[in-house]
Amino acid sequence: MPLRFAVVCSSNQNRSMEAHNFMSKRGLLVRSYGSGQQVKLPGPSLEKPNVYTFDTPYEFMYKDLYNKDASLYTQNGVLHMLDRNRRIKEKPERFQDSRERFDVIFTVEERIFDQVMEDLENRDKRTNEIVHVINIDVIDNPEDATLGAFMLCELGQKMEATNDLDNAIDEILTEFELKTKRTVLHAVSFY
Amino acid sequence: MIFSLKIVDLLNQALLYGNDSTRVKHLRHVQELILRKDPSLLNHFLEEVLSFQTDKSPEIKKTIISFIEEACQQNPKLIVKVIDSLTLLLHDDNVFVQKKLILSMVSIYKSTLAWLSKSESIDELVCSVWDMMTNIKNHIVSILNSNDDRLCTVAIKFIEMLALTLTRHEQDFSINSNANDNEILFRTKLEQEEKEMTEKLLEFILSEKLSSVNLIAAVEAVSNIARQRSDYISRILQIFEVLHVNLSSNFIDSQVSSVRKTIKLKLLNLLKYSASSSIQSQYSTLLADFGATQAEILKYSPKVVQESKRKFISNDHSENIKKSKTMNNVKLDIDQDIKQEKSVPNIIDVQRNDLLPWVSSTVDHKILSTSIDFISNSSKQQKKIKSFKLSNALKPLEFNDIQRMSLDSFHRVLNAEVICDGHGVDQIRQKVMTRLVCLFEQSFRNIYEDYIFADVRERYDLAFIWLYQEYVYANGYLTIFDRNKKKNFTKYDNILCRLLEYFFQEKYEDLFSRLITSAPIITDNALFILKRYCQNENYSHHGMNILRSLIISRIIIREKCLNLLLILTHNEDISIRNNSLNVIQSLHEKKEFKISIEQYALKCLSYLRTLKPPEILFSDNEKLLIVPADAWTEDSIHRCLSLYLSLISSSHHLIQPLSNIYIEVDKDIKRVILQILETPVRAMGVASLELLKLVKNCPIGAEALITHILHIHTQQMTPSRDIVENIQDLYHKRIPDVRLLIPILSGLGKCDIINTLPKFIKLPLPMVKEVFKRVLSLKDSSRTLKTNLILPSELLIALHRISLEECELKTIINATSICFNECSTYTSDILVDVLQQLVEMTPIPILFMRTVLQAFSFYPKMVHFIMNILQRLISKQAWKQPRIWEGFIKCCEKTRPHSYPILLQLPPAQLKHVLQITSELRDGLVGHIRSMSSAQHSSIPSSRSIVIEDDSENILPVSLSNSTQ
Repeated sequence: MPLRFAVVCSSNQNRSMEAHNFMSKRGLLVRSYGSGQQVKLPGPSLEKPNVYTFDTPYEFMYKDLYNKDASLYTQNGVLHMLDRNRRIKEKPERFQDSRERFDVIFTVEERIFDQVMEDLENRDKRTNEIVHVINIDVIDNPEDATLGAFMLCELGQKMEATNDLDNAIDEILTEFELKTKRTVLHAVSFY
Repeated sequence: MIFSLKIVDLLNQALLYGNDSTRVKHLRHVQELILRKDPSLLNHFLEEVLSFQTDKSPEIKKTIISFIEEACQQNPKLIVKVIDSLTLLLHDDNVFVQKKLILSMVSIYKSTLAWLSKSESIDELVCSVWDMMTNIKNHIVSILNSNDDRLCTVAIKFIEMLALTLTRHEQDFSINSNANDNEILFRTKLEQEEKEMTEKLLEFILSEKLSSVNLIAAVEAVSNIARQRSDYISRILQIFEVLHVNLSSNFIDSQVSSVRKTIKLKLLNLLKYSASSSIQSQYSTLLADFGATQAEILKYSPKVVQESKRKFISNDHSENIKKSKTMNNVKLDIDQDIKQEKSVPNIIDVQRNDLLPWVSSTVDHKILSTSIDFISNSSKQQKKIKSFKLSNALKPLEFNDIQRMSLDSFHRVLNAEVICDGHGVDQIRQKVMTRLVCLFEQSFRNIYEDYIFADVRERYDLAFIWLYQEYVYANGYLTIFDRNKKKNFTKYDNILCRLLEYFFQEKYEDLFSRLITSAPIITDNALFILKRYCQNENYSHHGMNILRSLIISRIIIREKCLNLLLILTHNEDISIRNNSLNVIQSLHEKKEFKISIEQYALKCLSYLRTLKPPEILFSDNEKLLIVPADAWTEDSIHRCLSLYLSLISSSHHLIQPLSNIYIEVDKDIKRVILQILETPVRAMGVASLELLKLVKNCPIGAEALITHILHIHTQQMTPSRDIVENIQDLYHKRIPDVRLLIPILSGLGKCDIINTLPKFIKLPLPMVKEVFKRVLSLKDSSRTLKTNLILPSELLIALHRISLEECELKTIINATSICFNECSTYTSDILVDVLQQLVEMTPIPILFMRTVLQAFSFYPKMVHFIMNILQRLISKQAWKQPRIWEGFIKCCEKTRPHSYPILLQLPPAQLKHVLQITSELRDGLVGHIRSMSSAQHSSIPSSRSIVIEDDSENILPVSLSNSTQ
């Protein structure tokens, strides 16, 4: 059985979608989520982000921003990103609203890791299936997102390659840490 | 039949063809058909399905295990048939199969336990099944102690289940059966076992060999136990403490931080459930050890009512969606429970507990009622109906019932104060109550209000929370979907006003001010109440202070508040007026308020121009009570001026407009203005540049005002050079009114004063007096130069020297008599000095003899000196000046008998003239001569004695002719 992966960032736009794109191209079974209250995209200034609800399609956001200021959003890469996203799936998904089960959940920020853990904690326990929640910090910009997606993908492939993930995960993560010099947070939870 | 054929086909395919995943697919299909479509087929096909357990592929085996798990959940009795397979699979070679089996055993063991606890008859078969179960259990438990890490994680979950289920089961057991024990399950034994299991887990956590994944799993397990078994909390805290110390020796850094993070999250989560404060400090230290910040601890602490915040908020956010979702979840839960045939009432209990926060937070008539209804219905129908449909169980309630139920439940929440307090969930109760009150209509609100007012001192915080809650709702902070909904503060306003009104009426001053200063928004109506509060004489001081702090701290309503305060400065009650003036004065010192306050003051000032007092001057009560006055009264004038005058002393430039206003108003107002100007003007100080400017630019008609102001200032001190010059300038160039000079007398030069003297003495008598007083009082002033000194004698002399062209005699006489009346100033010495100087003048001033006579009447002792004067007059041939001569004679008359020797010195012609005029003198003189000794007698020149004797005969006609003249 292939492993089921999830990647969670805050708005399900940049980091998680980049990883989603990357990992699914490498043949991994992956879904992506956001954990924030709303979807936030950069706006004309730091104080004025574009805010959408999670059920707004990428297509809609794309058109909306295109109409607002095509050159600005082309220049800062937001339109490009939305364009990529709308080819992957219809709209952002919120992790807390999904009842999908996974073997591994990647998060890209400690805050999101906490949110995911708390959400899992508060769900009704049914099957006792184990899920690994792994946090690797990725900065929220296009370059780091690509880098992060690459790392997550590599990690995912390694996991996929093992026979018994529960047993091997410690080793994989330790090796990963040594190689990339990044700190990894790892916890397990149960469905 | 169709199903069974299909199943046979699928089973064959699964047995013979394809790779693992296709075969698994077929088996899943079979599972679906048997267990979900037609359970009656289970008996028929069970053996066939179970035969797959010997398949080579581990995936197939795992599928079979999940088949067994689901079947057992549907029908626990099946355990009898599958127990052998389970035992077999437990000892399978493949570790994944073992894992899957252990995980499935979690639910299978649970359902078996539940089934056994209720089954009436226990036969041998069942006993042996239970024995095998126990064996499986023991095997799984023993995995913990083995060296095999791989199965540990699932074993931990199994043990957690044991630790939690045995007691749960035991409760069911005692509920559902009359006996405490049945043949297999012994209560005490189960309790004992449960404790053992927990101990095992705790022990396991502290063992050194386990991996980080297993440690995290074990931490999760014990946290779950602690959450449901609060007895263990302190024990588990101890364990975590030990872990805190030992962790780093067993793991590498990142693992340590992961484990610590997990423990922290679990601890924070547990914090929500631990109401007991006894371990609070231990708890906080431990949390801090694991890196939790104070903010996090607060967030999760039950006291701050952050409990299951996520649930609350998400419910509020998307109420409608969530409602249906939650209902679906509930339905699923129930469905599953029915399949498991667990003991129903207990589950319902659990459900109800779980639902409670949700029910109370998302209060809505329908949901509240339907969920209660649904719970009660479902519990009744559980046993009879196998396939449960929510829609069948739901019946709409009567509106009245809904109303009654919701009210009842609200009352229950209200009455639970003591209980909630004791259990540390008081905050939750408050939150529930306020939410209910906010969401429901009037009925709840009144009840809640009564409840709060019944013991305001204890419950005012409820009122505050309530108000904030209303604010949050009004702002729409809690709705995602209605973001564009118009903000509506009517309810908020309503509540704020009612609370304020209540505090006002019931005299809770502190609460009143706390409420109004901490209210998130102060509405106009609330300000109106505050206004009334300020107008109440008992609270006005307090109210003004509230206003003041509002003005300083609430920028948005600053203008309104300031305006309110300014309006109070012309309130009808003088104490209120003074209170507000005090506050205004303190605000006036601050830059940001200065301009608006001054503008208002000037506006008030300009009201005086109108024919009658404007309405704005009167408070609302007054408008109702009396018809606004048609004319200005002293009181209304005072009101217009009070603010202005209170500001002048600190802002001198305000004085300028006063003169313009002054010109335009009628004389009554002028009078009042002059009257009340004194104190503030005095406070301004004489050195004020603005004052100088005012003097310089004095508009025509405002002289009286200026004079008055100057007068006020110069009563005690010398005016400055600038002012003096300006006034003089004004006097010479524009306004030849001598009154202008009075205030600055002390600053004028000696010559100036003496030159203007004729004009001064033409003024009305009191003013002349004032002038003299000022002129003479200069003596004391050390600042004046010596040359500027006007001595009293000089003044009197100056008066005498005024020529008759400049002034009428009578005026001068009046002026001199003023001097004489000042006995303290004009002593006999001074008069002597004056007279001596006067007598040396040529010609002798007209008034001289009058002055002599006056001096004599005031100081009779001066008679000898006067004789000297008379003698001097004789030598100066005073008879050449008719008026002086006349006075001379009068003087002689008055000073009899001292004047006789003087008379004798007169030349005969003059003596004759004197004696002709007054017969009394002659008689006296004759007597005088007769009484003289012969030596003296002989010294009288003969020419004079002849005159005396001659005239003594015809004295009568002469005197008669003189008196008739």
